[in-house]
Amino acid sequence: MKYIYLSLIAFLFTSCQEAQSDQTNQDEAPVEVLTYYGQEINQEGISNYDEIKSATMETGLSKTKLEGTIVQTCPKKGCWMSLATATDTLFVRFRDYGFFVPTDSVSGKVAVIEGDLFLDTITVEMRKHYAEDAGKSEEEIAAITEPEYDINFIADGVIIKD
Amino acid sequence: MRFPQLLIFIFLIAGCNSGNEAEKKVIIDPNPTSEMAQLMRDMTDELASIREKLINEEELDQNLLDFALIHEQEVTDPSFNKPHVKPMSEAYAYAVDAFNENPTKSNYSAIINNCLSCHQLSCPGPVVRINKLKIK
Repeated sequence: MKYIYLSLIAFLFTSCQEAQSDQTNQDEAPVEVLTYYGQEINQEGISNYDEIKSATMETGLSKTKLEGTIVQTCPKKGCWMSLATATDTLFVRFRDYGFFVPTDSVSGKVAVIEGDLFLDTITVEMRKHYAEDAGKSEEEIAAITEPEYDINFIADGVIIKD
Repeated sequence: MRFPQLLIFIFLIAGCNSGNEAEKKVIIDPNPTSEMAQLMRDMTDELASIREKLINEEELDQNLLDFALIHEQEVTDPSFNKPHVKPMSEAYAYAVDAFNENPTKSNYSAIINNCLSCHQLSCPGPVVRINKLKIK
């Protein structure tokens, strides 16, 4: 009986070493580092942007998950970002001003966002404020005189990939 | 299986699994927090708690709120130092004093309206969050 226990322990110990060795080998390979902001989301079920955009133009709002490349984040607070999809650059805000992304060093990185894609009117005041945040000149800000009706995004969670 | 052997078995299984679990860290704000931002967060938490009590018709003590003066805080970005901030901060402090003296729904709403007025002029991003502090 004693030998059976000893064999079982030896087997488990060996299996464990192999599993950790595999993990070490994986760690040595270049790995994608994911940083999560806001609610924890995953990368499963990312929508095709053009398809979900068409649906949103019909319904006004779609709950969805998208992937794109970060063009810019709010350099003052990190309270918005612009994200280039295959066809459009989306203006992304964060639900209820409840979380933020880095103010710098993430432009050009790939991000996954989950939340609401919707048709939205951004008032002249808000457009001027976002332009000021983005470091636009006084002339550029003064030139904003019309509200913007466009497709925008409110995210519940963001993953930024390194 | 006897008890000591069972313990060894559980220990080995647990030890083996622990190396494989990746911890996910979820970040709310990766950026440095200024005095102003911290004060805004503290005030939001405090006012949300007061709001709940007012909605539940709880009796409130006087002098519940003790906030630092907004215009004396170090700001996140110099562009937030706009000319209207000081007078509006003083108006806000006045509204807080009125609530401390007489903690009613009406005086609470006056505080929230002050928050909204100032943010609409200086930093409209948090307006969506301030709206959730209203008592409807």
